[in-house]
Amino acid sequence: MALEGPSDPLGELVQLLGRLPGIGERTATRLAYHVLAGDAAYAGALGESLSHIHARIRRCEVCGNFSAEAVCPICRDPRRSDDQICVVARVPDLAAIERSGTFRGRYHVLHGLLAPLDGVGPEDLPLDALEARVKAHSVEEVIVATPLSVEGEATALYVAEVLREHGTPVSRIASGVPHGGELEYTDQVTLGRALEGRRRL
Amino acid sequence: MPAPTERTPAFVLRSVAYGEADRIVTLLTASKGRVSALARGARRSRKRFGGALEPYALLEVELGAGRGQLARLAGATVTRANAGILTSLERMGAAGAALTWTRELGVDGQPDPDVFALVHEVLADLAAPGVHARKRVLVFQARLLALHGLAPQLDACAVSGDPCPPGRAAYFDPSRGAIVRRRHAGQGHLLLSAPARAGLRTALAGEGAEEPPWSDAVQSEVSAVLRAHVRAQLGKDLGGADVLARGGASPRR
Repeated sequence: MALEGPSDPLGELVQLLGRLPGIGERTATRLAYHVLAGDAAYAGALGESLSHIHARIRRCEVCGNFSAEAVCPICRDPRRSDDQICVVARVPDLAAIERSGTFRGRYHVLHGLLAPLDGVGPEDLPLDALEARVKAHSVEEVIVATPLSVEGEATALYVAEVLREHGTPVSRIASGVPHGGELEYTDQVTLGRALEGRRRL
Repeated sequence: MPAPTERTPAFVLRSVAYGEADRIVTLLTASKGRVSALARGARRSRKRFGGALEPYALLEVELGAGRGQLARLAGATVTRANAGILTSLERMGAAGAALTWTRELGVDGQPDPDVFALVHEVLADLAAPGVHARKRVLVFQARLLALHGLAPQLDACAVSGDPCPPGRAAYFDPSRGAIVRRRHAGQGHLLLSAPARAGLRTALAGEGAEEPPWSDAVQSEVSAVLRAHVRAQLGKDLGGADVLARGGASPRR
């Protein structure tokens, strides 16, 4: 949406908002008018917050999680166990596991995955840092919670291979039929994996 | 009336997240060659595509007309999963190299049954027990180049035209895409030993075994020549089968 050519503040705002995930031009336009029609103090606070977000939030020096401090709250928490490290691809994956409330160990965020079709190799991810953490602390288990995709599998295999040299047990999150799911409506790949990963009762 | 669609066997060559819930997939299809298509909702719902938009599997896809050059992917089902590829990094790296080379050397909208069959065979072989992934993908890469008319010339000196007898080592000049006499070898030339030259000629001609008895040294020579040749032809490094290996040669670096 361009109202006045190159010096068009409203059009510029619409364009910037439209680059956010899930925001199309129509929604971006609605949001821009909402900000414009509302309190100027709110617009100022929003702009201030956005302009400082990269300076205020950084990657945790230990695990790679986003944090306002050099070391994130999870790594600082003395009640959490140092025996387990859960490897995830992205911070939203860490947040999802935290919401499940079932894991009380530490994390290692890769901020990506090995991608054989895109030329992303081990040197492009903080895998050396993971190896150093495992070597430095007596970690009893590394749980690889990367996605159940080709890239996630490649990353999991690589982690397992590297940590095998240190004798650290590496496990992979289970995959299969979701809780409450119907077999009839489960796709063949998922069902095949569920059968492969069956457990004795 | 629903928009018309066409069903065709296909392989996923690349899949990129688009917007909040969609994917843009690059496919090698049997009937249309390389095609880019928008898979709406592919990341939000697994109902329509299930796990079918992952690479390495042989699919049956349903394509419709989309916007501009981007087709619409209406559906996809797995015909052959090739799940054995996911059992080792070596196989995944080799299969990744095979699909990357197929994608980068391909041309949109030009079906080639021989290329499709070649990709089908290499992925099936890489999923099979006991495969030597590195050798298998080197043979694939050589044959793919030959099918695209991009085979390196290994029979005669590109400068003098003098034939190079079989059983002789030679210098390969990537900038010429051919072997040259020693005195014509410039910067960046690669020494191709007699066994490596013979093995590569056989693979290019499509006459040898899918897993020839190449030593590690021969494999390294063949890999270096093919990679340098493609880099000179396309102006970019497509990487090799060792992308997932520790200290492997990632084309990103």
